[in-house]
Amino acid sequence: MNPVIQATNFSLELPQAGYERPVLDRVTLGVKRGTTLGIVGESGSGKSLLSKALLGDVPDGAVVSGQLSVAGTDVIGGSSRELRDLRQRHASMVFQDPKASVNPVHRIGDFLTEHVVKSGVMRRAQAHRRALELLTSLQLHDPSGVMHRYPSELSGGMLQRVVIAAALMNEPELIICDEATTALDVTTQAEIVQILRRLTRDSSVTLVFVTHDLELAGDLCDELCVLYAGSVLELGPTQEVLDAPKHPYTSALLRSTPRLSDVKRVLPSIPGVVLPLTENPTGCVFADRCPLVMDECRMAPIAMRGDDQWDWRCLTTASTEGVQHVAH
Amino acid sequence: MSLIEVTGLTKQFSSNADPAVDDVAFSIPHGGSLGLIGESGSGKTTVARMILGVEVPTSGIVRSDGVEYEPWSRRAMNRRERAKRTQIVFQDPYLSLNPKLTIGESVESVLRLHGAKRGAAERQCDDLMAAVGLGKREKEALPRALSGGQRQRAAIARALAVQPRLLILDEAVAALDVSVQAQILNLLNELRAEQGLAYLFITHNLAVVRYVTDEAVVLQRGRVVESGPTETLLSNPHHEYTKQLIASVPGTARRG
Repeated sequence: MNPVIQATNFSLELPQAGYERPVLDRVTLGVKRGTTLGIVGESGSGKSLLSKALLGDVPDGAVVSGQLSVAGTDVIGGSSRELRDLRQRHASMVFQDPKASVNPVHRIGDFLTEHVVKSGVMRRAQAHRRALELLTSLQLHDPSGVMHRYPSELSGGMLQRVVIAAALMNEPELIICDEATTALDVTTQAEIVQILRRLTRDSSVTLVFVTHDLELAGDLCDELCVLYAGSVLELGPTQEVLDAPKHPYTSALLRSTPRLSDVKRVLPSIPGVVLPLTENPTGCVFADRCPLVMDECRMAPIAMRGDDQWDWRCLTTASTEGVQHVAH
Repeated sequence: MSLIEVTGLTKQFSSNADPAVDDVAFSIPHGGSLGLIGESGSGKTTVARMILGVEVPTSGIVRSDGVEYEPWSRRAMNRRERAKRTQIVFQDPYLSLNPKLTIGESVESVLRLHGAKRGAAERQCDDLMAAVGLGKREKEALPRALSGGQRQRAAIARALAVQPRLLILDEAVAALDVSVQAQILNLLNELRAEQGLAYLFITHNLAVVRYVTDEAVVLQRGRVVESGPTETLLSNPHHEYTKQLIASVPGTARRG
């Protein structure tokens, strides 16, 4: 079966004064139908740009190259009609702040049904039924009452469920969640993650979950894509990557994540800051902060290595072992 | 004797609503660190605002070294005294730094306001910058030229300039990337060990609270539902809500 997302050497450059490196650099990844991919990165990694670019939404003046196919649509070469069709019928996005996705003066019911009715995907009565079904399945209390309420009358967690329902209205093949639980309380976040997990289990929908939280992605995703300064540094099966990361960045990120179970008082941090856009090193983008850096790392661009299950962009890791032993 | 002790702290914003803060009590020893844990609407920031003196409680008592005082009262002490007792660092350092002043100017202006002569202010500023791990380049930069972590370091330096005895950290690491968050948490631990500061560390993140606090208080809808030594509270929680919070920390279920 064709993958829902297939990116091959997808790059995005912003030709702007002072920007020296591509904001996305030779991104290669594939997402199979019905699976969940976690795109994990810190600020400046390019994760939001990548998630928007998947639906053909790139900043003005951006120069893209490589191949990107999403739900059968050629995102780079596609016409605006094809891209509109992709967004209306095949894919949806959920963002961090649900308040920014809804119209404050429209009732929830209108918000949910409007776009599918207008774009001709469904008739009004059918859309209304589907909206009710979805609100019920997302465990919102009193779904028909919620349809008549305004966004300001709902809590953040309820509103994010409404936004997820809106994303599901057109029965998309692909849902992209960009930090969709970040603004929520921890207990609400856990509920939303539970809902997303059930959704991917019970249907064939493909989920791309973009987050800064490696552990959260670990709770939900089948595969992880670790992004740093626009480059995919590691891409592989979630549990394996978290248990024995191949890239020193993944390893360092995991070690600097606070955990309930730890007993130590000192948290290993990653020295330095994320590579600014004004710098474009010849070699590895993580070299300046890497505890294992060697001279070769800085000499030439680092190619992905690994197999078709698990890839990473690092010279230091042999294919048989992880980098957990990295001393701080 | 506790540096700060609150008893029966209550704040009711409207007579027909439940109190935002309801009969809250805790104490922080000199050089101690207390975590105030809760979700949005739990009243944790309102508690902080009352201790800071920018919110007047409906009832309740605040004591410092056993002596009752009213941080919110204009008569009890002047602004400089109040500033020396308690400082606060927020989630977003942009809000606490003047965008038109360099970091150095921001910190020095606080020192000058509190009576330091120009030369002394400069020296103290350099010491503070060194203490929070900022160099000459950052000292001469405007806030917008710095990274999020550097700005938070600058906000901490500015808060420390008046040598407060209590530093309130209101979700101070919540907006930072994990690698930078770890740097700031380590910095907070170093500063406490070196300077004998006390912290009131407000957070919704239980995993973070372990690293910087000795004791913790869990707030739910304005009430304390559980309190105790942080380690014990996290490893052996009694209240259902605490258990729920712990189970909600990403990775907890998977890692067992």
